[in-house]
Amino acid sequence: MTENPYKLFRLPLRYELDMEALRETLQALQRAVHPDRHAHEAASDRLRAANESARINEAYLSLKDPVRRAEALAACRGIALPSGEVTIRQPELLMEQMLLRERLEACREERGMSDLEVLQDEVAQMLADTKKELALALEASEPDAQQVLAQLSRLKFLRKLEHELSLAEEQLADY
Amino acid sequence: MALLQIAEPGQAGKPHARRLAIGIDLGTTNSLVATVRNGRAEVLADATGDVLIPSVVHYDENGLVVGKKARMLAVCDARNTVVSVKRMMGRAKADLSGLATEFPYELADDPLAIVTKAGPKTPVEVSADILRHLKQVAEARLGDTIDGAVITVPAYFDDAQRQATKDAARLAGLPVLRLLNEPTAAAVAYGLDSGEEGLHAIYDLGGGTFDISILRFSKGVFEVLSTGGDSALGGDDMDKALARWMMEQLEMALDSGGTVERFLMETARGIKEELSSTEQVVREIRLNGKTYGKVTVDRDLFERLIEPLVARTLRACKRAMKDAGININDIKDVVMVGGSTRVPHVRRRVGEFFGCEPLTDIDPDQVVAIGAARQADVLVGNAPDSDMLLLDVCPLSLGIETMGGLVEKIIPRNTPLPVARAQEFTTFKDGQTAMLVHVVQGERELVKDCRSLARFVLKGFPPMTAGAARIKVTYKVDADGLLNVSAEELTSGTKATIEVKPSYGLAPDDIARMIEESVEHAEDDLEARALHETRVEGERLLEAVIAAMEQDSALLGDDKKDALSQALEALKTALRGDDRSAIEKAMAALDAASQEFAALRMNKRIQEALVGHSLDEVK
Repeated sequence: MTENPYKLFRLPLRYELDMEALRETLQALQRAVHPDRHAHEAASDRLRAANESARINEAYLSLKDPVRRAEALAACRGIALPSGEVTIRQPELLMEQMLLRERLEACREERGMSDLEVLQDEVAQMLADTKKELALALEASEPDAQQVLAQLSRLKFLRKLEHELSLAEEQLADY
Repeated sequence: MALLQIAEPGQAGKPHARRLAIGIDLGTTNSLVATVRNGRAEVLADATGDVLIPSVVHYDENGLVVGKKARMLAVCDARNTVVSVKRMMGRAKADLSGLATEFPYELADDPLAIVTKAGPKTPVEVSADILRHLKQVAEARLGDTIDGAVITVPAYFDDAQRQATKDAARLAGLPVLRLLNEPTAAAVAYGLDSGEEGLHAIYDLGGGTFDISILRFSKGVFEVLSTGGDSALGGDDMDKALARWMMEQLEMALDSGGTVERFLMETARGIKEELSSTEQVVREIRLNGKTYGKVTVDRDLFERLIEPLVARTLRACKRAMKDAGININDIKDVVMVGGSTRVPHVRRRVGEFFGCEPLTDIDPDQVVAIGAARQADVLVGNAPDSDMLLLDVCPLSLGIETMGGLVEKIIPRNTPLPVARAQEFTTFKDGQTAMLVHVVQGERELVKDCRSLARFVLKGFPPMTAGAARIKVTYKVDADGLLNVSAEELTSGTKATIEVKPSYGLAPDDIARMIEESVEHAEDDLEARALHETRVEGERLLEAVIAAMEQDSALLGDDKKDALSQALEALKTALRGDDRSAIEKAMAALDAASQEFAALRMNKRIQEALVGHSLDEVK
């Protein structure tokens, strides 16, 4: 249905991307298609421009998002990932996430801003490590779908946790 | 009415005459209109030499007055003088409580309207009267009709408020090139003058709204990273805080006509403005021959009164930076926009917060109109070599009501525009043949805490077991930040009908009726206006296709080229006549004939854009 963002942006099949260069490509593309650049054209041309511009924005967003980017790269490399809800059969992962969540709860209850910051740093480190593992799994010459899936699940868990940490931070900092 | 000059056939491709484009800052307190002449942006003054035109309309039996004269009537005839109408745009009567302006008018509901001596006036109509006045000011200065306008809105305006603004422009007979966010307009004004690359914060505190935008400027591109604010917080709230304090000090009571309130608000505003250059103001409060006493207001007191408001703006700044994923140290400078940033306390607090001296080189009242004029000049086609591009974001999350009154977000806030996203839903009852789609805007999880934008009923799909239907709901937001929603049931393959019922303000019928009425009022002719609009669009299509052929005819085979040329000739012929439906038909035919060509051209442009931007070599 929609073109793979890796193909649309003509990217090498690598997980880590140069975000600065990616942004420049986005801007070059938007310069070509953005409806404002077609403002004095006919209505149907403006509509086409708006659709193209939206498509390019969406592709850019999915490349910026580490989870969606991994899924797009997997699709490009022919790695079959199950769609929809997946039951996680990784006891260590579940245990690790439970412990992290308990710590988040404790920070919330005790309004422990400094504990929260420590936790945030740890989660940031875990996220960075997971992305490295995921990159290795995705870029392997003979990729193993199970391995990709395991790292991707961990990434999703951590991203969700990261989001909740930032919400908790907002609450504690009161803004 | 001046008819559009139509170029002779064969000449349409020649460099056309400069088009007149204006930028309008439609403010809560004051409005401005600006244009670009000889490469320089300038604000246009009205007949009395003022550039700051009060956004005030006074209505009576004889008609209406806009601007300074109307503001002078505000105190003696509050009920028929509409001020701060921007705060009522896109709102229902129930939304108005809690706003700083207490409205001393008799209000009608559904749609919300102010009952004046000249009849009920909806906020859209009042805004249209202001816009019409601004258009006249511009036309008087520029000596010709306006081809297009960019109108600014607070970045934080929701869909209903934007739609209402566009409706007002339509009603005023003003062709809108674009709705532009005020902070982005300010960035354009600064960016093009200084060319300073990097991350900038735009702090915009107007009469009734507050906006903060974080944006990146590089190589002519203004990319908004995040935006935030409060569409009901501004200088009026400062005036109100001071007015309340005075009322308590002098033990004054409110009257039913709203005169005391209006008088104290005006007095407070005067004191606030004086305090920007002096340390202390002493005022004797006298109204209708009665002396209530003296008040002494020094800066210290005033700053204590407004500090909670300033603190609220800084909290929004923090959130915007977090949304942009940047640190305060990354910000190169902060641009001050809006008359309320003249208050020294605001400047000082913002400077402390961002750790830099705020930029105030361009008059904070004029900067938005100037940026809008620049953008209008580019959009109307006067600056073909400009590489300026504004990439804006969606200010508030857009969602849909799901089971249990919960909101599912479809487009999160700060998503780059334009955007199109689809989501699939299913039925929860056996045999269900219709579904209510409730569109909401806001950040909260419960529907009741968000703003309801519209309810769509998708009906007429075949009955199925629960969970079998696949209903695709598509949200599209265009570059103006305006939302369009459609729904479709996929398994039946039939596109069911959708009914749109705006749950705010005005229905499309209301707008049509008002346009008819206003046209009558202006002694204009509805059909002539429609013909004119069709001609403009037809001429535009003609020019666009001719230019495209000159550039890219190599993309087409001979038979396609012939078909296109024939359709072109047919439109040229139709444009020479006065038959609107013939022009429309010829336009539709040309449009159909050029579809494939346009797609090929768009693809070519994308490929060209990617050349030299391939990331292959990146390590």
